[in-house]
Amino acid sequence: MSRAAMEEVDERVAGMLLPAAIVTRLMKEENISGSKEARDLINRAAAVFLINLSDVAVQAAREVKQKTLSAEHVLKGLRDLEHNSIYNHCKQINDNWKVLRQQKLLQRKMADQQQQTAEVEMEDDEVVEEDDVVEDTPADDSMI
Amino acid sequence: MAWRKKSKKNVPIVPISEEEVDAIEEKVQDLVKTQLPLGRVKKIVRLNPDVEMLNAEALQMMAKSAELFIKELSNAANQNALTEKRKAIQPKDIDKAIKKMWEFAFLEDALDGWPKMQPKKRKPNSIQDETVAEETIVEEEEQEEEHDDDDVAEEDELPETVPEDDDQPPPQSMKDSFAEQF
Repeated sequence: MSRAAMEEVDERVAGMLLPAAIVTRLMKEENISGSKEARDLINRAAAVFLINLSDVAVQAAREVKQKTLSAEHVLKGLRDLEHNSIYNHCKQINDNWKVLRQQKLLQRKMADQQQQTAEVEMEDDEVVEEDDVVEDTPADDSMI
Repeated sequence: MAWRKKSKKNVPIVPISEEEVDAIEEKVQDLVKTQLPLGRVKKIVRLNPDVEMLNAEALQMMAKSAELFIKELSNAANQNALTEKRKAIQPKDIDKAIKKMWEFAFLEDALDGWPKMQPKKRKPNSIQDETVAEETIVEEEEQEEEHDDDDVAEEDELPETVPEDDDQPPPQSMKDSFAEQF
């Protein structure tokens, strides 16, 4: 982003923060208390963090010529920004999502295959009937 | 080539049982769940003009990352507060964390001059009042937490936005020469 664009974003970020109560609660979970000013600062820092992360994620997406941000791009962004512990946590999430995607794909493939085998079996049944009909007619001309 | 990166495509995907799939789904839900509202997170991310679209997973991951970041920064600031034997973190603790730690370097200057925070005028000799006021404020906030909206912010700002030690009013004589420069 250009400097001017960044300043404009700064202005708008000021009006767009996370719910203060939730930020306070998150800090409380860590047994941390702070002045209202401090809590507000942390809230803003989180907003800046998100913008920053989205920036590097967008870069990661562009590198592979994609327009929609995916978890992979976000993950790469975290790594590029060297947020190591956050990266490690999110990598776990992403790895599990990958497994789930693969399994779902596999399930669908297997379901498709099962359907295909079922269809083939139905065709086989029809063919068998024809054979029976054919067998009724003797090969030689004895019945004529 | 004698050395080649292992191709991921050649690893066959082994199907796993439904119970295992359910277990993994449960686990990942637990890992990614966050108290931050996704809608708000999305709005903030959308402030970035370069962002076109983001899929659901990306949004979830960003929200979780923000939550982890809040905790990280709070903890870092808390360490600094503890070194000065304080239990509640203050802006200067956060500033110190930003200066000290590489992962917070991007915040340098990013948190200054925010439109909303305007320091109120200080009365001279108000130092004693400050410390007393600060302690009572902390207690008040605990009660007022539920009503703690951005809109209500102004009311509570009174003593707390008083600048920190470094900004102590200079002694009378220096003040004049300081003013003379301008």
